[in-house]
Amino acid sequence: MFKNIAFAALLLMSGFVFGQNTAMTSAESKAFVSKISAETKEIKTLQSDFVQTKKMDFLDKNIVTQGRMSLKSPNTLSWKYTKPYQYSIIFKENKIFINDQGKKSSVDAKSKTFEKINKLIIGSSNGKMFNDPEFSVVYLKNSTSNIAKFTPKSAQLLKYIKQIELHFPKNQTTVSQVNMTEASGDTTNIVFKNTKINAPIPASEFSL
Amino acid sequence: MRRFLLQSFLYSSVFLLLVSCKSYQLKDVKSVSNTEKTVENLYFSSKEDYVYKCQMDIYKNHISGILIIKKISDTTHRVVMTSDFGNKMIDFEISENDFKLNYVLADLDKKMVINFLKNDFQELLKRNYLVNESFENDDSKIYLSRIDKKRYYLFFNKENNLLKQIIYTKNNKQKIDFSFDAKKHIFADSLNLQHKDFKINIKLFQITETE
Repeated sequence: MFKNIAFAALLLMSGFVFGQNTAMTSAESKAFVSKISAETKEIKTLQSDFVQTKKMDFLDKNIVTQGRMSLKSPNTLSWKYTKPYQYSIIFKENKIFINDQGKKSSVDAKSKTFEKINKLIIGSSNGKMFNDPEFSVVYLKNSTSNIAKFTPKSAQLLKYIKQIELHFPKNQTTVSQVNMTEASGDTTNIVFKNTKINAPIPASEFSL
Repeated sequence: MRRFLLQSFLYSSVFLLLVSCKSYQLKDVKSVSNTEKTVENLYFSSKEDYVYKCQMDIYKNHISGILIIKKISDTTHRVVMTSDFGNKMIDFEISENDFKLNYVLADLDKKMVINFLKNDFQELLKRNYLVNESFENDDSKIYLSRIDKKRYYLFFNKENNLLKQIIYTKNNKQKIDFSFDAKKHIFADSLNLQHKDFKINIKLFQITETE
């Protein structure tokens, strides 16, 4: 009983917060998924600057880090933090290369956490994520964006993450914003800017 | 994996016991009369957020992320480490006598790891030290504080009076060296925690003041 009340309260609250978002009809969501999936198939490379904001309830200020991501189809990814510190991680040929402020290392891409990160980032840029059996998806829209809200199905994954929201501006094929909510309620928000599709990427971007 | 960890832990403990029988002694210092009754480590004493880029090496494992330390009451600090991507890895509240684990990622949920973090942060966040003896050398004032079998040697820079090092020993054996780089007494720009008994090293670089 208590659970139901808490759930209803939560729904109500999220209704206030995301008041401007309405659910897509099933025809709308089908059209949205097939449009994004078709368009992202044409993506060979993707580059974008990002700003990552971490919010935790006990902190006075948010933690903001910035960097640049580059993606080359099918599965080469570089994710580089440049401010306020240098940290690069590159997924290439089933290996992970890391440069942690000058300290370089590489590992086989077997780590579950890294695998998930890679899958998440690549999946959200090529639309494959909509078919990921690990998540259930709800589609929403507002005046400027379409929003796909992912909730993990397994209790194991729910321990890490409660929800992931991907924002697609209506005139854009790629994600402009990712909002992740952890089980504890802390959030990480990543905003992508200056996104370039199919522009050549120098090979140096994918090496440390 | 666990067994392997335990084994290497035991072997290295035995090895370290054999090689580290030499007790710690201050070198090239002269004894001076006590000018201070107590000294303080104020590097985490403000109620502002302390945010650091963190590199931890625990044996052969390298862990990178962001470490947040926040004083939440007169006695207690909250310590949270997230990965570089923002997801939380460990979250605990710690005071001199208490430890409350709020969250730990399954991969890190090992008694040994948690005990190390607990002990290390209890030492790092310890603020007040009663002075038993005082020394000095060319560039530092050194205060010795004794609590039971533990000894703390606190090195203060003579020029700016900032705490630059704490050497923590137990039963005369060197346990942990803390070194600090700072421009003001309530805030360390960088910090290095080096275990002398195990292969554990924690490096912190401030990212609190980014502008």
